[in-house]
Amino acid sequence: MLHTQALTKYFGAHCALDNLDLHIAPGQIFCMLGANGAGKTTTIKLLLGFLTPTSGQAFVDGIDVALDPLGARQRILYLPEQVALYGELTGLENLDYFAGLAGVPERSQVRLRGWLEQAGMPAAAIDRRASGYSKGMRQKVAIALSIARAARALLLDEPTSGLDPQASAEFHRLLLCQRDAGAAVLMATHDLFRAREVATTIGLMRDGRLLRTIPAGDVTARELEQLYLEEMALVTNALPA
Amino acid sequence: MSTLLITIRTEARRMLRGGWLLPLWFAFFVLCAGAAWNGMAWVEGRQTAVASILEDEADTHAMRRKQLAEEVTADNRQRYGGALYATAFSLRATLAPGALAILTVGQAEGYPMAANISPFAASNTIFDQHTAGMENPSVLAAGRFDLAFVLVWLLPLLVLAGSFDLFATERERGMAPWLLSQPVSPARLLVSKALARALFLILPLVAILVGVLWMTSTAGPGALLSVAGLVLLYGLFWLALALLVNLFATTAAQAALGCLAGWLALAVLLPALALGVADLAAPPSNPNERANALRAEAMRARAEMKLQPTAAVIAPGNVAPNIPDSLRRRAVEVARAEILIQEALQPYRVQDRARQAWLNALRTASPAIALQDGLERLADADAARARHFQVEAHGFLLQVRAIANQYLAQDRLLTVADYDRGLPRFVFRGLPARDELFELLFDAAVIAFGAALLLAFAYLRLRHPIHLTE
Repeated sequence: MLHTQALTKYFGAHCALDNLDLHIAPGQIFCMLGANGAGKTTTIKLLLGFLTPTSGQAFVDGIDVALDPLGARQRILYLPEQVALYGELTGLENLDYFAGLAGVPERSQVRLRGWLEQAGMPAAAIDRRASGYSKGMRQKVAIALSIARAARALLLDEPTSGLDPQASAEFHRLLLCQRDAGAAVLMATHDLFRAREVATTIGLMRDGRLLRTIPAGDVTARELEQLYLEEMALVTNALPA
Repeated sequence: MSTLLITIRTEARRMLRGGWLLPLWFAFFVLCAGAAWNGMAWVEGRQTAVASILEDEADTHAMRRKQLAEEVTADNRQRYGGALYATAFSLRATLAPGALAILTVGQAEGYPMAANISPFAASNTIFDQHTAGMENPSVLAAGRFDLAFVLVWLLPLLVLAGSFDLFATERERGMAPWLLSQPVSPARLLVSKALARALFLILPLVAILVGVLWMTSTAGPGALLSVAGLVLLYGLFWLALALLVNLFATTAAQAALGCLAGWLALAVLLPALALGVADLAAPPSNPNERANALRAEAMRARAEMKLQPTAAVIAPGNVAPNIPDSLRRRAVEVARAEILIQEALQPYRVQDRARQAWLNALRTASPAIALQDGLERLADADAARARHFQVEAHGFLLQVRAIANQYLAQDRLLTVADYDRGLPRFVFRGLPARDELFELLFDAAVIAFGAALLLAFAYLRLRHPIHLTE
């Protein structure tokens, strides 16, 4: 579903992404871990067509993003760190607008409410203006949009940053639902423990390069942390047991 | 529902709930109503002045007719003849305000609105001097608060106030990547947002203007449509500017500053600069110098006439039992003065034509100038119309002189029957409608071209929309 081939991006002389080969099948969650500047967000922007690759290709459902960015975006739902909504509109109206932009044809009030409730939005909040929404509630609108669009691929850029533990747990529950519905998920995150819990595969990135991919089920949280620190060259010796 | 319709619907909701759209409409209504009230007062003043001039003309004719009917007899004809005849053709030419005159005083006050047409007056003295209001301190301090001022200067500010954050707020709040990650082209999204502003911001403003004009003027639907079309184009020009600014600005503050800078440059500085260029390239003729030059020519004709004996001026055998020789001498004198005055006017006409050519060309410098020009034409307050009035009034003077000369040749005084048949009357014909329409379309084209140019820059910027997500 999500596929990159020797994807490379330079900003001037600085290499932001170096020969990234990635393949994320439907029903898989690939978590990219890495420090700031590792190339996680660049990868997502390249898959969205927001950036033009210096070399290499990015594909979404077989569509070359550089050649048909709108076609690629038709299949993607992107969730940035901060989902911003129009504060003058209610959650339901925001969902109606974004779903309309995405070309979702049937957007009756009943269906819109259904999608929002499915995403865990409290019924009382649906008709409130989004200016009073918490970050978690805004993300639920985004998840509702993902459900409405039946998005085949999700690109998540540090979606749980700043969420309280309960909201974070709920978000990951919703993410797993999307995965079970057959979506391919690429998530950039700093949250090693949540990544290990929800991911199918974990990729460790540094300085624009994918250093290592690890099946999430093969490592414990502690081992993952150790590997991460080693790859990031933050420690030279193993942590004490 | 297409991207266009759903975006327009959403933007309309946002604008109405933002709490600024209705106050903005109301503010524009108040501005238009205030300016229209000012315009009505000006029009009323001018209509009163014109009516008073025409009333004075009618009173004079009635008095002359009465004198002819009741006082002039065969016995005293010789005594009355000269004095009566000299003032018999006391006619007036007036330039009445147009149906849309409340739009703008324009250049109407810079030119005379009436002329005294007398066959024995030199043509340099026929026009009334008009400086009404121009020396008034309140006018100098506050400027002329007419509808043109509201439309040319203030309307852009209202349009920009309602559209300066067309997309900059989304960028500032980090919403742009999320919005543009939807499968919709940035160009279509932004055009849809701009169209929403055109429909819910600019169109209502145009409707308010037309409503105010409909209530306060006598203009017909065609003229109102012309104003609406011109102002709509002008509003769209400023919306196009807001769109372009929003493709560069990353915060609402930057966008606001960008729009303000655009307004200052295009509505304030560029017209002033254009006028400066015109003044340098083709300075205006000095009206005092011109008046003095013409007066000198008239005096020269008088001096020449004084040297001529009557026999040399009036053909032998043209006996004048009714009309005295002094009047015949005067007729010859004004004919000579006319030739000298026309010769003296030539360099000024050349200078005026050169300046007008520059001013016409400089209309293209800014849509603000083009709109002002268009509004003046629609209000019949433009310089071309005022100058044409002078030409027609002068033509009328020559026509009246020719009639008077026929009377002189026949040594015939005006009779009561002449008055009852009616003396010649001045009818202002104005510029050909085709020429007026061409000039108006040219103004519209300048504004449309300006908008198209901004949209072309926007299109070039949108060909690489990546920056919008940064």
